Amino acid sequence: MPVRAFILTSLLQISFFSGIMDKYQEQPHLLDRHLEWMMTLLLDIVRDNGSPPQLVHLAFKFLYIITKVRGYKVFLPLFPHEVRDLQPVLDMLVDQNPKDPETWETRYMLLLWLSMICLIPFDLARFDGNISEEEHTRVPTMDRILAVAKCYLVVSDKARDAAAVLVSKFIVRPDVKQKRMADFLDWTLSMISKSSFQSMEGTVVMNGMLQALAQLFKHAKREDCLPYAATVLECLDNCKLSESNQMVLRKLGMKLVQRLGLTFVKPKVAKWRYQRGCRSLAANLQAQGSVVQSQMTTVAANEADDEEEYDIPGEIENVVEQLLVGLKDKDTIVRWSAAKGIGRITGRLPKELADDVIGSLLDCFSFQETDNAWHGGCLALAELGRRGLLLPSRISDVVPVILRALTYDEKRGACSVGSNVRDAACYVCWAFARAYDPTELIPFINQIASALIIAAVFDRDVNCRRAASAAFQENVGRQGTFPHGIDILTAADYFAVGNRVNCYLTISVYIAGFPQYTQPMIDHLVNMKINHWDSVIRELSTKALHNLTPRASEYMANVVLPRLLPLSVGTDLHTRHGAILACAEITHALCKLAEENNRSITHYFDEKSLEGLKQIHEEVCIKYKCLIPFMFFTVSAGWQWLINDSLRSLTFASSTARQHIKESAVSALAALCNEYYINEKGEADSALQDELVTMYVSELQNTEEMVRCGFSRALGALPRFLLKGRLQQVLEGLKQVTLISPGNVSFAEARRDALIAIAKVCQTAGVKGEGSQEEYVCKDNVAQIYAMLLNGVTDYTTDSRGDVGGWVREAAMRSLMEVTLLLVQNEAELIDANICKQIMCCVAQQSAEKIDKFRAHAGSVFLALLHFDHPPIPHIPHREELERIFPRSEKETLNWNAASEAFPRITQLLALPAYQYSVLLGLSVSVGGLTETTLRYSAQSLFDYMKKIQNDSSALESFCETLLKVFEDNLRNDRVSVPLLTMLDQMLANGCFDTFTMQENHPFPVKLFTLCKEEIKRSKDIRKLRSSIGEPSTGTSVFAFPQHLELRFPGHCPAQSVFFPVFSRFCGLIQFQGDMREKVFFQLFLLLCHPFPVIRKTTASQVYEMLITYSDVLDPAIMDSVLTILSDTNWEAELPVVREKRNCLCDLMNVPKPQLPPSPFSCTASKGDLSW
Amino acid sequence: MGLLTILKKMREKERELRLLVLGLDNAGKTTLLKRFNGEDVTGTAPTLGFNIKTLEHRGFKLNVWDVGGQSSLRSYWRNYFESTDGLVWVVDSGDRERLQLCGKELRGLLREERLAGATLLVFANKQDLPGALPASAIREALELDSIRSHHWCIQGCSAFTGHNLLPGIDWLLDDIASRVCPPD
Ligand SMILES: Nc1nc2c(ncn2[C@@H]2O[C@H](COP(=O)(O)OP(=O)(O)OP(=O)(O)O)[C@@H](O)[C@H]2O)c(=O)[nH]1
Ligand SMILES: [Mg+2]
Repeated sequence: MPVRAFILTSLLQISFFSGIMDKYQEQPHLLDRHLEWMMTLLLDIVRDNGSPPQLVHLAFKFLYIITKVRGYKVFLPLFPHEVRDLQPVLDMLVDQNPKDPETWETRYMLLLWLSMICLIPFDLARFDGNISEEEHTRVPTMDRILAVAKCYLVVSDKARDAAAVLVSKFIVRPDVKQKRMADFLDWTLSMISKSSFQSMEGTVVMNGMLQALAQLFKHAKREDCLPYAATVLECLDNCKLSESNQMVLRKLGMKLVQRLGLTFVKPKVAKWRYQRGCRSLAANLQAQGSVVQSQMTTVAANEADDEEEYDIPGEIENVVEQLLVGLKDKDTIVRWSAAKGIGRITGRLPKELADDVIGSLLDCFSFQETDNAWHGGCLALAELGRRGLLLPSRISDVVPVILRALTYDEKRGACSVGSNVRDAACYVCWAFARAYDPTELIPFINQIASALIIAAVFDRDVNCRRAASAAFQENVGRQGTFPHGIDILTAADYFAVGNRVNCYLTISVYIAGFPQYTQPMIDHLVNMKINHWDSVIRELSTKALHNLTPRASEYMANVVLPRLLPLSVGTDLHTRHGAILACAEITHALCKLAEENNRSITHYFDEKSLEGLKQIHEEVCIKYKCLIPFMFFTVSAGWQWLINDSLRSLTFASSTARQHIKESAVSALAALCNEYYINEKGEADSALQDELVTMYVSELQNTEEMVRCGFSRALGALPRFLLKGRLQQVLEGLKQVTLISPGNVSFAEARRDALIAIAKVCQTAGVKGEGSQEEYVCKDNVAQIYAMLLNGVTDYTTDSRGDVGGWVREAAMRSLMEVTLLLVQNEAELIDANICKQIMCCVAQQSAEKIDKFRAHAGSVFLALLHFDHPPIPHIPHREELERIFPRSEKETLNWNAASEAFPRITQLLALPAYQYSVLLGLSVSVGGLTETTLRYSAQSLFDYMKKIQNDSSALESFCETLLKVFEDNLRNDRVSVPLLTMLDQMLANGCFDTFTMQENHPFPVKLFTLCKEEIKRSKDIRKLRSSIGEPSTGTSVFAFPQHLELRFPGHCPAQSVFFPVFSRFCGLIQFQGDMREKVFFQLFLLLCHPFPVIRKTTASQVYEMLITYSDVLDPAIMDSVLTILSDTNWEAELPVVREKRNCLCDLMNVPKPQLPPSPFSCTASKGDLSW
Repeated sequence: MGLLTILKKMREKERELRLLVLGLDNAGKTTLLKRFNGEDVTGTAPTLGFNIKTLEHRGFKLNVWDVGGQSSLRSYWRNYFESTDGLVWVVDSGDRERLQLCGKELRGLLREERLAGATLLVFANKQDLPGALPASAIREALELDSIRSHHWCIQGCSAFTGHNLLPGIDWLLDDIASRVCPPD
């Protein structure tokens, strides 16, 4: 026993057992051969009187884990079920505490076990012997079991389910049925009528009763239940379960109502059920008739045709009605249960009634009905189908419905619902295959086959494709009449249809090779898929049309294209997008085809289409394949309208589609301008030019960001002859887009696109220093252009998407580089020293910042400018030093992405006066930032630099001056000031300013302190405050700092907020001599009475640590008392209490006491004011 | 639950059959079960309760229920009818006196609603005994030819020696497996 106990407990401890069992979830039957020994082991423990209770419970827990994986039905027979097992199991069950939440598994398993034992063919009365007179108080075994079952039917744990199973096995015993069934049913009904599903307890009770009844009516003999069925149904009706929002109750209602229904009508055995038994493909392929006759004497049952006449009780109508309602339930499980019920009951009804059910069922499929109804309706049809209950006369009603369901797709917001409907429709088709004689299906076979193929190849959802493939296979196997069924099945089997791209682009082409499928497939793509809500599907389907074109070139040219043309100017964006792409793909395919066959393209286009295509040469079609749709409208519907409209409509497209639409429209524009807007002299038609440029520039001020994006890029794509004479107008327009104004802060994408466009426009226009600013980049506009671009590099906009300004800075730097390289190659003297310095400094600053991606981009721009040689860029400050720091030999190998490589280099720029400010500005964001690697390498590099200049007082002075300047310039600019203070803190802790600590009242710490105070003043940001007295005064835990705080004050630091450790802490400043020290204490004592208890507590412990660290700042005589007050006070207590303690400290240390401000409201943090 | 899940479940269901072995006491039901399971068949005692054996055969998983046949237990047989795919009726071919009773009990079962969809296999057992009636005689005595409600087959066999057990079971499985629609 101890060994077993050991095995078990240790198994449980490491919860391997459960883990191992989980592995069997997928194929639980693999577990079967282990079941027996596991059972024996566990049951031995359970049945051993010597086992301690905990061990017994443990054993039951294991048993439960096994049943969970394998299901109790498989497991149950393995429980011992002899007469002698009854008493011990019942006793054990009675001994349990029904409420103990730790041991419900024990009760659950015992109830199931008892339900098994109840099957013994043995009169229970014999257990009780003759209850003699003196023992008349003893309860008969039958009643003991009943009492236990009833007791557990109303518990709220899983034992309730087991109790229902027990009831169903127990009540139906011949002896129990006779004596207790009526009573028991009375009891359940009265329990139900007493409870309401509105309350928790009511729900629990109803759940137990409904389960018990459903199980009972399922397992008991029909005739035994019949007398009670009507009463139970009435009671169930009164519950109005369909109005409950408890899914479980509605499901149980469905289960019970159908069982009641089945009680009212006798079962029938379907006559046809053996007739189409040939399920294997191989067998179907074999010549029929070679069936070997068994030598055994078999007599086929002669299922008499005579339908026995008997009255169907009126209740059936009620039952069916409820099930039909259940089909539309919002929960799949309820619909499922209802569908099965419909199938089961209809199977027992006479023909006419069964047909009525089907009639009502077809009502589920109307436009008003939801996808739920469609789904439930399909499930029910499938259940009827597989039972052979859809009479041939109904096939013609059902097939059209199913065909629609196979492509059911209802828009809901940005996507759609219906994959469950399509899947269920496949189930119906699958059921047809089993239930119908091939001759009955023949008239519909082509439609069904096409629809299934379309679903198997073109459905968006892999499950639906697979379901369709399975249904197709069942039909091929059983019906044998699907055209080319076996060939298609080989190409589109379960595995093949898993890959959607392959389905669309390859399998479809193969299947379309069979003529009866070609047209349905193409029509489906055109009608249902090119306008799909998912752009991936739209694009795939147009590519599929391209691939299918050789299969039906005439049809594509004569029918499909004319149908697509009007769609591509329609109002629905999805349709238009798909139609345009489809026209392009089909035309491209037709052109290729024409070329291959040495035919003129005119072969494929009728007069009408040709009219539109007259001026477009075959060559052009092939060269600009993506432009073909635009070409159409150039001539027919007006290209300008289409392109302009596409650009204006960007707002409504998905973000990926946007990029795509924008780029194709813009590239179409460039190509078309070159093609059509140029006259023989190579000039623009001035009226057209005026109209176009003016309209485009005015759209730059559109209130929709995406429209600004589109037209910025369009201007960037204009050819030179359209810019000529209009350059200033265009640049001015773009400049407006790049400016941030209160209404458009979030328009980062527009600013990015405008900056990109500026560089493009410059490149297109070309450089001529003395030229006109209406035509060239020249001395008159170069400063203006640079100003726009440099301004872009300062865009630090953030919003819910994150650092969106990063896109702008990145684009601005690239454009800076492009314009500068353009200038230097043409007229280098246009770049003056001041501009060059600005460019290099701002790029250097970006090269020291924290986000790897942007830093890397900046780094590459910096090096590209520095190392450019044809000719070199003039006036780069400190060029020689830079060339040393960044040797050309490392141009290719230096990895700016890696903080470990970038920071050691970029910090060297701190020594170059021209760059010091910018680099320090960039660095502070990195050193005080969050990313650990960035922070580590940037901080290390900075400290290394500081160490180097410790003894060079002029370098140090200049550094500190710059540092203060950076601080001052960025006061209250949290993006910089917060990390900057963290950086300062680390520098203090690392002794970077130790030199100054020796000097009384050195201006640096004084200035620093003033700035800190300024920064903290009126700060509402608790994070900032808390950090200002932050943790790592020794500098060792710098990296763990944010995590520490987050752990310690989880409530105050929402996980999603990016955590900035903030302040140069006063604690660090304490080491400076002079007034400084007193000022610092004063500030700290203010914080000791801060309205936020968290801050008070943190301050106290920080002061405590600081005093220990810098022990010389206090008079040893008062040290002990001060430390005691700090450590023993509950700083989270009420403010008056705390204030008193704080004032003691002030007295002890001779620091003036902070005074309460007069305002009575200032104590509340929400006022945003700090009260002292 | 999509079609693929339904198919998977259905396949599992189709592979898992429930067989109910009934017959008068001493017919050889338990012996038959043991023989089929490869256990020792000597010393079989009358069954007072019921046995369940799970057997694997031809890829099917057979849950075989063997219930005692003594007259006091017969009224409890109905507890076991539910979702029975195949009924195996075992006859002691040497027990001429009780053939009449045997036929009566069988016909009673065939009237049961819950056995309506089940296939019937009759084993004319104990063919190894010298005085055993041949299967054809049992067929006549039990009036099998008048059965219209069920697919049926009779097979002479010996549970003791194992002779002809397999062909009987195989027929049963074939018949069940060729149904398209399982009973509820
Ligand atoms: N000679 C011979 N004896 C058999 C054969 N089958 C069973 N017996 C014997 O018949 C007796 C009864 O067999 P059981 O298997 O216990 O019969 P049962 O049908 O299970 O009986 P109950 O459990 O009482 O319903 C035993 O002594 C068996 O050895 C057989 O094929 N040939
Ligand atoms: Mg027996």
